[in-house]
Amino acid sequence: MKTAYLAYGTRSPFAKAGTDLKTVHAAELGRHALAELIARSNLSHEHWGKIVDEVIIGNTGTPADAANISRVIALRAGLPENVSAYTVHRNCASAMEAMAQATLKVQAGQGDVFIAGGAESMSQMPLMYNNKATSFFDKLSRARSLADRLKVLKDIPLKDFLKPRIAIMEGLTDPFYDINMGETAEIIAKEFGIKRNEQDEFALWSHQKAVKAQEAGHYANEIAPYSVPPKFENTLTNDSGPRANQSMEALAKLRPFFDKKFGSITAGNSCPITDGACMVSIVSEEGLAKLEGAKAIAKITGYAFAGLDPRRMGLGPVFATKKLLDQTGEKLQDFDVIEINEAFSAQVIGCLRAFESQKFFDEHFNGDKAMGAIAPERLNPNGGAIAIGHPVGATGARIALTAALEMNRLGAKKALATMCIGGGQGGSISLEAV
Amino acid sequence: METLFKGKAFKLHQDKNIGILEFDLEGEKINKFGEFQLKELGDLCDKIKAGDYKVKALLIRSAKKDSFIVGADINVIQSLADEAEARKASELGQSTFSKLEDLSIPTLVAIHGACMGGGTEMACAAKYRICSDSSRTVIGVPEVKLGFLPGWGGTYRLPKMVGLMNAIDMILSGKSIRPHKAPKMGLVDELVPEALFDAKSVEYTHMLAEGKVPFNKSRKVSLPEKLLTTNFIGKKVFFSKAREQLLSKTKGHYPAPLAALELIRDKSSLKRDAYMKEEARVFAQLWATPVSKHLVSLFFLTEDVKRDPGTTSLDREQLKSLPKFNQMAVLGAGVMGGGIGYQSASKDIYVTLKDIRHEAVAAGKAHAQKLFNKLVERKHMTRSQASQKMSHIRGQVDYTSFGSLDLVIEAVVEDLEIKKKVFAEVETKVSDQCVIATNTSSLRLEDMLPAFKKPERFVGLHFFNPVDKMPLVEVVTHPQISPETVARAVAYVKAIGKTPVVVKDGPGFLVNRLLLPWLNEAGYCLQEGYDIVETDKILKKFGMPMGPFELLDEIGLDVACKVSHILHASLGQRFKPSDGLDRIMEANKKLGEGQTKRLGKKSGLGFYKWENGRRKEADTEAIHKILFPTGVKARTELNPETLIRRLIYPMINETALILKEQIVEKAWQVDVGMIFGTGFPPFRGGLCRYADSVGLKNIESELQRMSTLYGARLKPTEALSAYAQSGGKFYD
Repeated sequence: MKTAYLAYGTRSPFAKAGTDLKTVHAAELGRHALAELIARSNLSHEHWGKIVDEVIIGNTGTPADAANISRVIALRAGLPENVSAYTVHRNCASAMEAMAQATLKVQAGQGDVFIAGGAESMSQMPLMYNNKATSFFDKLSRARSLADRLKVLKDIPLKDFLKPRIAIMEGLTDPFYDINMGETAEIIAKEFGIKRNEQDEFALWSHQKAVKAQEAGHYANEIAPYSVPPKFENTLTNDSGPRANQSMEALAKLRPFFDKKFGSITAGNSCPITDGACMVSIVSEEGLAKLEGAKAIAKITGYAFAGLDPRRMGLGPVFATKKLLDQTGEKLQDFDVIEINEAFSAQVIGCLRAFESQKFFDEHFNGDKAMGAIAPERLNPNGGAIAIGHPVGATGARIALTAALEMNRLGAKKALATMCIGGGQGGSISLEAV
Repeated sequence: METLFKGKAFKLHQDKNIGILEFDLEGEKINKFGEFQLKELGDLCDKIKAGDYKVKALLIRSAKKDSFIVGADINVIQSLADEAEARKASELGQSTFSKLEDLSIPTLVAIHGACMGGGTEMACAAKYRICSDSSRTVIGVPEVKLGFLPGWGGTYRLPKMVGLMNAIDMILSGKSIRPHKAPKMGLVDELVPEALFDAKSVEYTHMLAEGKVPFNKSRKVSLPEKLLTTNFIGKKVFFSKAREQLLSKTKGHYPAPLAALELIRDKSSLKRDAYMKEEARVFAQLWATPVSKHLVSLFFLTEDVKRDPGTTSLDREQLKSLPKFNQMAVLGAGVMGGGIGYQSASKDIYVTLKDIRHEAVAAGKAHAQKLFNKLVERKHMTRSQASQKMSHIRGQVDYTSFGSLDLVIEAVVEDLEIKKKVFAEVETKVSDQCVIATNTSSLRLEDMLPAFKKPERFVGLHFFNPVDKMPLVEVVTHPQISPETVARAVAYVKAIGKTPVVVKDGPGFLVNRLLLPWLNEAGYCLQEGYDIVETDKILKKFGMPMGPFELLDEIGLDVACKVSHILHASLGQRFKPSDGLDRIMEANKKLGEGQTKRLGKKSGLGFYKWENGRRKEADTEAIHKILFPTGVKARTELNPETLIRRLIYPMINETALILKEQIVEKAWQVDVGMIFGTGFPPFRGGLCRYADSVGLKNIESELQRMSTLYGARLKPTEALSAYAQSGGKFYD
């Protein structure tokens, strides 16, 4: 089996949906990240065109005009037409799935150079006509004579036109239990007894770490500044989410969003819906040579995805990491840097507790030994999605890249990126310094 | 398939009962009509008519790859001896195509690739036409661009085929028609997918042979067209409107479209053969005009430029193996960077805009985006094509990606030290095969050379503003440049659709050095009390696209002022500027907060007032206040002839010196530079052609006379006197 390496990695700045990047198509965000990755390699498009085996990109919103968005991104970014490209969907872990597939293909010897990543515009997820309105249009288009048309028009469902289906709301709702993702976090908060102020403290900590990382320039290595078309008047050089002035007082003022009466999950201790894209290249040893001796950022040592109760999807990282470490034989404490994607404060805190709870392991893993605690300084050292945002299709690649770069910065040996997945799954990927 | 006839131009094959006539000009990649081709075609038609070949229908097509017939052989047209011969040439084509028209068997012309001029006229004489939907297929009659008209029956047949409105539009503008428009206009009977084209051509001809017509031959005529072209009064309105529009466009400088319009208006009621006599007469008259001579020589000039690799030191193989420019960067974004980026990206080169601030990079991108949007608005490009092109442009504030570049163009501020620093820095970031260019307009390349470790890779690429509109780029050489760098720079300029002129390093290079005497002299005229608007009007009437004051506003008064001093310092007394611009700059300095600086178009105020980039009225009074603080000078009476001599002759004076100094080596390079760089009137053939037509002796003595009246700067240069003595012409 060949070894897979993470070589270049570049992403767009992330911005809360409905703000700076709201007019930008997901494919354009992806194009930017990929074009900048190519630029950072100091190799020409022509060169990349000759060596790229496949482009694999995650996306959940599936823009109607870019159904296979991976192909659109690849060609727009200047890769030639002969390069194959496909899109993958594993909800919140779509980009991690893209990385997993690239890794698998490198390991299997099916190619030496892959582009993997994700792109998401949560601002541009559409409103849709509901079934009644849709069937009205259907009938209207079938009516041939004027009389028929009038007959259909007589029953125009005006009310239904004003009740569109909101793609993003439906996307964030669990299709098995009809509860919103926020409500799944509420369940974890209640069952693990995670208090509101613990969650707010965690959120504040995320902002503080992210702001510090920005000031130290840690994110400059992964973010390619972006001027927003078509006027280009606004240039983003960093994620716009982290707030230097975030405080417990401000967080405390927010009302629970999902369960107004008994709940503790607020907009402040959840990640915002976000626009952004992230691209990495995953290559074999030969691939590094084909990239004219590029330096690998990290070795990919393993990945795993696991399923669990959709109502407690936030605990996905525990299940996926358990599966991964069972495969690799590593211990949770071996990892110097651990990125757990911050969908909700409650969900990350729930994971931390579950990792060290023998009771939890007895219940879910047939009495296997609990994996133990994660030292706070190893967890999301540059902040997480609560501060910088979670463009669902792209985050999987972002946390892996951020973890790898942080590992190198510290001169550390191992890093882990793991995340929960809507619908009741978890994904984990483990990395090693080169 | 049996071959019945094989000539130097045509082959006739037999396929069952149809004939396939193939134009396949010997020894050429394209088909064009000259005397022997026409005779061969005429003889073949005679034989078919006489029944020598047993064919029931005739298919006419080209055997050349992706090219139908590019028209008449311009060499033949240029070498005609006189008007009488021109007339004969026209009559030969007319009678040949009439023979084709008079065949009793059905004829089908199958057009794939460029079909121009005589090719289109031949196609009009057949009974039916089809064309392929290839992007290479275009149909047109561009004769007016060469100063004459379609003289092989085109002005007779085209109106009957596509209607008066379409025909007048095609003939007067010379524009080409894309295949998708052709069937709607009635220019062809069917549009056929490229992949099926050959098979369908043959199939249709077989159907015609059996008496079946595979096409539905009716062109839809719109109501306005009907009203304007089918009755006496409507036609009268139509022709007078068309004439009016034409004159406002050509300002009376181009006789051909007008003559074509009048011919069609006055003679189209004649029978075919009588009309043809009139067409031949007008063709010959136009052929003999100096305008046509100039346009034809300009045509050959541009052909020469297309072929010229810019250097004689490399052979064909070496030229072929030179690396192409796929990735480039422009340093200094802004409007110039954005313009170069747009131009290059639109030809699929990947462009990095680099500046020191993100805002500047973004401004460059915004400019490029605006230009692409315009193409979309005008339907020259679809929105997704435009986004694909725009995707070729990226921006940054560091040297990321420089290792992959083939070309870096510097367009930072005109400051020698800053430029040198930039070059030294860039050279450490790029690969050995990367060409580094400067877009300087006023500095010398030789002063920048010390900054380079590898000076042989350094070249000047002087774009003109606005980049998307100005066709010329000066490729500036210096003693240490390698021939490879020259050839690659020339190839790049051509690849992005611009016209290169290779010039030697020197103050103002070619175009600015020639423009400045003109602008300077206009400044002196202004101080003598000449009127701004009148002056501009007279020069526009001469054929310049803009008068000197409008041009100064376009350039920017601050820029013009700076450049005029730089050239004065390096070229001496001839370039001594009037102090008009200095005074305006002084006045600018005295302005308070919030007052508009007088900088030309960019600030909205110059010699004229500008609103949203549009020229409004002249700001004469305010200008006079600045120039004549003691009160306005008496207005000098303007004699247009004198003014033109005073403004144009100094450029000719300088041209002699430029040729002597070998800034460029040939007079034609001056003409290419002036026509494409300044819009010097093409119908005058360029500055040198114009000078030759006046006679350098006359110009020398006039300059002598003017120098005593207006100042020593106008004195004829020794170089000009030398030319005046030896033959009196720039061209051999």
